[in-house]
Amino acid sequence: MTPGYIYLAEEHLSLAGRCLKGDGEAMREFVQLYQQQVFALCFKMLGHREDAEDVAQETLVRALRYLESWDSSQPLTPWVMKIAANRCRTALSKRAKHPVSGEFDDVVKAPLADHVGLAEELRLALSVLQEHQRMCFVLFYEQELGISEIAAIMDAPEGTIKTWLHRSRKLMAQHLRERGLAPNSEAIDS
Amino acid sequence: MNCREFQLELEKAIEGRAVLGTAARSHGCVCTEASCQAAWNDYVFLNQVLSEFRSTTPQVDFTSQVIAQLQDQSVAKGKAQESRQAFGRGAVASICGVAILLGLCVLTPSFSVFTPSSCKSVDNLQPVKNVQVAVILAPQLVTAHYIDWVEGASSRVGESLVSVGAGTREPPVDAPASDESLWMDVWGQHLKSLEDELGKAVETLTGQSDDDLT
Repeated sequence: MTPGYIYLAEEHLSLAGRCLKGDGEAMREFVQLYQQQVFALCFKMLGHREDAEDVAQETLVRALRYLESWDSSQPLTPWVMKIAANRCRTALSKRAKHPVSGEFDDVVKAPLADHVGLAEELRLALSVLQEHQRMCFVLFYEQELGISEIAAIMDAPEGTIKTWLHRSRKLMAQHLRERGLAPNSEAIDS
Repeated sequence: MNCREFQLELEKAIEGRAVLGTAARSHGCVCTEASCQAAWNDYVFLNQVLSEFRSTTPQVDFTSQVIAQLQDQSVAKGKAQESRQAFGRGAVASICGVAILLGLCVLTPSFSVFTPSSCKSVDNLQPVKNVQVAVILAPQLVTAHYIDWVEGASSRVGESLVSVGAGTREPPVDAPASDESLWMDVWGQHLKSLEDELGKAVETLTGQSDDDLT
């Protein structure tokens, strides 16, 4: 399915309009359009598949229920992602009140092993970032959203987003080096 | 290109996902400044590893679950709305009932607890023929009934006290006046004056004293 951000504004408008009329097929289309994108954010933020699926589903249910409140002069994708970001924050604050051992905690403390590949190391490295830095990093690298879109989603000035992105990059690189990953010297020379 | 220009261009390229220019690349490779080296090393390292970043997300499809949740919620919402409507209808009916009852109490003097006619039998009640007239006259009727009741009550209290004091214990004519009969006479006089005062007070309250009438 085509990711939400590739859809044109007119297509979003038409899809939203059909959803608001109660068209079941349009609702399915809406879910299929955003589910992977929303789940990816939730998965990277929460570091736990089941939790991420629950939060992603909740996000899409809310998005469809409150679609009426979407300002159609604004793009649809940041609006949906903002709901997802807020749901993730809520889930993280609930988790902070009732901490449980998640996938992040179990693996990130273990030494670098063969079964944990680079991709997994990257995902685990996210746990060293603060919540807002992680959100910013994921929206930028996973969702490939622009600074202004991230600023809209996170309700923060663009300058702040740039600072958070810069800081999160430094922390990620530092953590990965500490975990034994080293840059390819050939790549540096090239 | 100096170190500051290099770092600015590097940040710009990162934020805009742009390709770094040749001059900046050359500066990053050769500059020995610690901040330039750190920024360049992080840039190259993360460019290498971040290509893997998106591949760590598993593929999912929970379309059916989301649609099912939406349907469940709309069904629950419908039921809640139905019960709210039923409750609303009941509440409106109750309020209407109470309002009608209150209206009857206000419009019909015989319903008022302040009127002595509430003690009368139902046969004596006069039907209200004109509601508007009843609304206008209701306060006056209530006041008149109340005055009658107060007057009646005061006179009844006075009469009963007098009859208790003088009537039931009348001594024989030829018998000498005992201490008890003397005491009764004195008490009767006191009660008589009390009755007179009470009567005057009632007249003053009702505005029916001789002074007012003139």
